[in-house]
Amino acid sequence: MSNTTIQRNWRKDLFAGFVVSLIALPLSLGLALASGAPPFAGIITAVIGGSVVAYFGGSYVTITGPGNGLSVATLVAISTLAGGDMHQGYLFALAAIVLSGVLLFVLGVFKAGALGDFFPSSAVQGMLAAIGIIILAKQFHLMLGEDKPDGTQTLSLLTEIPETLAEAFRGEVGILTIIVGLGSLLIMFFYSKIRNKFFHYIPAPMWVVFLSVGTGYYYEYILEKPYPIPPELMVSVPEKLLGGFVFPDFSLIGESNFWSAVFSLTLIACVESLLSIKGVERLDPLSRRVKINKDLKALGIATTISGLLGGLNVVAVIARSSVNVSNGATSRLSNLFHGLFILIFILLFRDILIRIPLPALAAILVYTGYKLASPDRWLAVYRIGKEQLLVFTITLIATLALGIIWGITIGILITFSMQLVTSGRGSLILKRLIRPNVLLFEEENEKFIISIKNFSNFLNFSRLKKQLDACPPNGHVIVDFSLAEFVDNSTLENLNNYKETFVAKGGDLEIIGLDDLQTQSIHPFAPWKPLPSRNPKNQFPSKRQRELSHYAEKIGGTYESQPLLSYEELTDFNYFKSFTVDILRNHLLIEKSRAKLSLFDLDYHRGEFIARDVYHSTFIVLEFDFELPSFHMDKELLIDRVANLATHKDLNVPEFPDFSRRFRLSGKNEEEVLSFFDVDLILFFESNPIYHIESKGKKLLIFKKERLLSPSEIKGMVSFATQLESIILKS
Amino acid sequence: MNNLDSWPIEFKRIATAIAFSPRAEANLFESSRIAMKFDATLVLIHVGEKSEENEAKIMSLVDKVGFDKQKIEISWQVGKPVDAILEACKQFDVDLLIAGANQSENLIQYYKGSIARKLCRKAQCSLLLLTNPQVNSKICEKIVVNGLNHPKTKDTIKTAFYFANALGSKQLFVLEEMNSKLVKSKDQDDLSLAKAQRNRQNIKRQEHLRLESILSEIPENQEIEVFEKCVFGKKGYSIGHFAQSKKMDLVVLNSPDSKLGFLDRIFTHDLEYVLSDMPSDILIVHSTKKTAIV
Repeated sequence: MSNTTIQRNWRKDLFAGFVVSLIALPLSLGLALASGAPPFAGIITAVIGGSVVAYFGGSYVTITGPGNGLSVATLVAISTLAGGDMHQGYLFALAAIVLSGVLLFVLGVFKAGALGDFFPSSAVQGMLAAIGIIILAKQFHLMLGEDKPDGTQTLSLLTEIPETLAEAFRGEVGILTIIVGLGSLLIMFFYSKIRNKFFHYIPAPMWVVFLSVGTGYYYEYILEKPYPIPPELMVSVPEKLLGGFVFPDFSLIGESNFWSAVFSLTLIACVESLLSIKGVERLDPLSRRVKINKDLKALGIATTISGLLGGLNVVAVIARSSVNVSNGATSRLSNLFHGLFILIFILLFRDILIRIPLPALAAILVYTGYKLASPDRWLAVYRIGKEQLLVFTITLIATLALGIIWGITIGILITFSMQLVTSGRGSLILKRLIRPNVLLFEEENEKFIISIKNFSNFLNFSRLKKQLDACPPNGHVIVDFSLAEFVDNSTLENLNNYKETFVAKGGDLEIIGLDDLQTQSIHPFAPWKPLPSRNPKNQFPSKRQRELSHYAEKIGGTYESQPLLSYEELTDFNYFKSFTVDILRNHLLIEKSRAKLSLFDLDYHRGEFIARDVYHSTFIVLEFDFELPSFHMDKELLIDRVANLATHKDLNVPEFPDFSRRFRLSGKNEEEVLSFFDVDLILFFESNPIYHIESKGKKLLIFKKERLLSPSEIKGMVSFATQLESIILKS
Repeated sequence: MNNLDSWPIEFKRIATAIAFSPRAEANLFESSRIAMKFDATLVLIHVGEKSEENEAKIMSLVDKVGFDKQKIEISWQVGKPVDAILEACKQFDVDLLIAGANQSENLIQYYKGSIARKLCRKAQCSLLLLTNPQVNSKICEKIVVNGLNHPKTKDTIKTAFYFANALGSKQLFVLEEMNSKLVKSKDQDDLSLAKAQRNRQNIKRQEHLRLESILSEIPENQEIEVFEKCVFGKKGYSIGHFAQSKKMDLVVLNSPDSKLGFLDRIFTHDLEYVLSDMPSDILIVHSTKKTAIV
């Protein structure tokens, strides 16, 4: 990130960091308690996590600190390592944390972050929704002043929500507690609906904190009454913090149960972080690609330092990160600020902090949880396709019932088996699973073709990603799926993210070759599968087809995506002498008084059975109302590959040596052809990209490559053809 | 087709297996056409009993093809097809063995190994695998040859030209397979982008110089257009993918450096990629008989 962006955005980051710190502070204290460690350990974790990862990390808006998933693993370590002595166990656990940091760093060095690409999009969405529900279920009770709900499982927490509601309305909890909790929730929900500029200067969570702390001061100084919210529902900050530093005890380093604690901490930290980083990546409004291995290394360093100072594992955390994003964070600075703010709060504003009622904070978290699992998310997944909704739901339920790691594992398995069954190409996928399938080459300067064979899904996206990363973002990349038989939604979603980064850097990314496949819905990320029948009639147009139809409208032509069967006239051209034409489609027609321009995609082939070479290319045919001399002109020898046509002589225009050198021009009637190529025409050809051109009778066949062209290339070719048309009509 | 003495390998004795099936007939047509182009002796290997009846059958096939009977030799072999064919190649001092091959293999074949694949692993001469032998001639227009940085490459490229000359091919692509890591830009800021672009140009220039030194040794032929192309992808795999997407007619490859075993098929690499999914006909060049792997 350049300095100017930082200068422009640091205020936003300061702000977001501040808001996150308000949530992270009580969470860190709480998670430390839940882990069986002193509260101060949570503070150390958040402060070290924020500052160290902000410095070394490779992601942008991820917040790091103590994590939900790890609190259970840490509690197990602390309570077992010293046979029940919590303090000694904590010291031993610190040693395990230090070593797990080292292991995490090693994982980063060995690029274990690539594992993060293997999580299918709908499954990750399902997991995020489950996390949202977990947060919501836990915090809903606290929001209504019910400090310790009976159940600990998310499902039982959910079922107890009506009971908590009933208790609240029976008046068992102070009315102010409920007002603060529900009021905060209302602020969160209606914040975006209120259209007041000044109101929006302060983010919703800040309003919540300000208003609730303000109420506290109002009671204390104006009404001079005791605050009606009981002290156990207020943020608690221990009084003696700076005496809290403890150091790890490595004396168990030879024991096996010590190492099993190290490994389980590392595993859970790694998985939780990878998933969170991947989750945050798609929350990032600027959709930047994170350097995941750099992040793992940074988390390793942070965990080691944190452990040495008495803190817990530092992991990337999704909930706080999503608060970070929704409060406008733009860079890693917000992570640093969140750490620093926690430090400042704890040192300077203890008096204000203890006035924040927990129900208010819980309301913020309930809203965050709701956003992660809101009906909009379900709808968004459903729009991609029913199968995706099934994957989403199963992952969600599995995560709620079995925890994050099992949830995502089941999500991956379900996605994969679903693809095997529904793609109709199960055996191909199984057979080619571990094969390379991506080829990159530079077709022209700064123009890259990435060709994908067999299939492309979340399991082999990392290979496509590697080649995408090799392309300069200011280049023009064409991703060609014409050799692929199945493309899944994760791939398309990731490609879409890539497109944004390419466009932002002045390049472009276009997708071609999906027209042969079919989808279930019109959604841009709907998976593309082989056609069920041989009838290539698309239910829904691909993006390229939609762009073409739009383009046709703009230039006053007609567009038809359905296949046409009247293409006999094409066989007049020498180019098609050795081919059999199969299908003509995506037909764009521009009719003018003396000429007719038609552009189309053509499927044609040579040879039969296993030697069948299938081609898909884009052509233009220009039809005039008068006869043209018959000639052909190109750079590579594409047109005269039929042996008996190669006998035509290469014609030279003596006055234009440069033209003669660059183009192979040949024709039957030399004089006619040479008189047709007048100065205007030659100058036009010299100053334009080279196309293959063949004339026959009244028609001109124009094409660029023996492949489908992307929309931008088509526009170039149409403009070439229209100019050519006007020059020919002039002479 | 001047100066043939400078070619590292000459296909003077060409062998093919012969049987009595339509496919084998097409195979004979192809083989004899190629043998005629090289003015070579054609060794017909028949795995089966030597009998007058069979000999007459073979000779009538040769008549049908129209090959000069003076330049036909027949080798009668018994035993397992692969071993028998390889034995015959040794006995008859064969330079090039032509065999039919399945374009893609099913799972069982893939792990068990087809005849063509076994030949590939053990052959001590160059091997031409035809994916679709045909009775009628077709033009071998576009040839792609690997340009790996490897001692064998020089002979392979020369042989590709030798082949292209004899078959009247029009275009020859020398394909350089690169690891995309070499040209990846570390960051997305303008400076590192420019650096990556410079890197790419440098690599292209270096490769160009290296290939140029090989190409300069090859007698000039105006008929053949030569293209150098850098592709990025898995080594050994990209050439097959390129050949498929650019519709090449023949892929010319170095011979394998070591014998390929069962493990190579599970952990697929290099040559195995092309063999398991043949994009077109394949010529595997054994540099010289001396350097061929024993």
